[in-house]
Amino acid sequence: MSRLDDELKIAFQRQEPPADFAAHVLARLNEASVPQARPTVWQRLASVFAMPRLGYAAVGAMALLLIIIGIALLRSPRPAGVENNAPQVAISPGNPASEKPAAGNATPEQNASDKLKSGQPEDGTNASLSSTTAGHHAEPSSRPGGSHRLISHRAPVVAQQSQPQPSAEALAAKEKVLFALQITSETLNDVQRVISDDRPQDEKPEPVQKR
Amino acid sequence: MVGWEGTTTLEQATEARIEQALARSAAGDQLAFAEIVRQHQGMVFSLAYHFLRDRWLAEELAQEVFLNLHQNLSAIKSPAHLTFWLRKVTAHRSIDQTRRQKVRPQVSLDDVPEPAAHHVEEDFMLSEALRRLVETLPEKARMVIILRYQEDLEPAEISKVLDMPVNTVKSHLRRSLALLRDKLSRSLGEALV
Repeated sequence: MSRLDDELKIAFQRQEPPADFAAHVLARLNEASVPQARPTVWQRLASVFAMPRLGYAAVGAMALLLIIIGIALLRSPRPAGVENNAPQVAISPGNPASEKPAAGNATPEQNASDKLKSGQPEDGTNASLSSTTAGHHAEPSSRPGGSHRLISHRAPVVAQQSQPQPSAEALAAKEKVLFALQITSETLNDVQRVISDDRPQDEKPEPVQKR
Repeated sequence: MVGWEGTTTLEQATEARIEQALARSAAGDQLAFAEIVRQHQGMVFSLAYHFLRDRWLAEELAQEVFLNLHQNLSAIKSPAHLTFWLRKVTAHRSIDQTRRQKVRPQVSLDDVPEPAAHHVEEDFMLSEALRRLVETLPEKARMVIILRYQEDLEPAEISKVLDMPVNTVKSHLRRSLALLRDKLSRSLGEALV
């Protein structure tokens, strides 16, 4: 046995832990043995939806708002582009369709289907009417001079009709929806703020007992 | 015969008492388990402390070892087996703890500055210098030295505790001792042989 061996034995003598070591072990043992009921799947699912009372109120208000928006959207007039085609065609200058208010009130698709049903050849009126919707697809051969003139004259009208101006009612409905969306987003922000304010107080974890 | 079956160093009376305590604590008696803890806390804590060189960490680790023991009481067959099990779990947990944390950077023993002569004038300072040098050894080699000199285990027993070949244990011991001797001899100016 060398001197280094002796020195190492001295250096690595056993040392005692603190006097309350065994008590700490038993305390930790008791902590660990306390049955911590693991939450079931349903309990965990329910905890996802667990919210403070104010949160429920906010969610209710938001749901009510969404219902109101839905009703408003249902009651609002149909998109203006479909209904406003006929009046614009009727008031356009030199439009032979203005001489036929009944035909002018019908949509172009209805007119086309009527023509197909009756089997009539396209005359100038129909050609001009269809040219408002179909543009260059109209046959120029039936009335060479007039139809060419008519089509070239009506080209700006077609461009104008392809971008229909929304009516005042549609604009009002749009504004209502935008306003409702704004209110909804503000309500959601409030809810989020309230929930985030409540969470640290409610879900503050128990401090781990350290020695 | 080597290993836990033949390495009992406890007195016969103590061994009988521990055996009874094992049986009772396996049946749920916490007082009996507390007696087992008190009987072995010095060994477990010292192994962890000498390896980690941090009292708080060593205490935490020792507590966890005993909590682990409580969960595995039914697997303990005898007091000698208990001692062997505690040494093994403490050694492996200490090594794992060091690997996880890497609190202290591993430096080669050659890079460690030699302790100044006035630091090793007293035995206490020499012991401290030795502990600091051992602290810089690689993990397995460090644990081999601690088990050899704290627990007074033979290489065959150390190999069972650390799950490594006996020759590796002997090699670790030889190389570590040579390095320690060299370092200390140079710093002290005398041979520690």
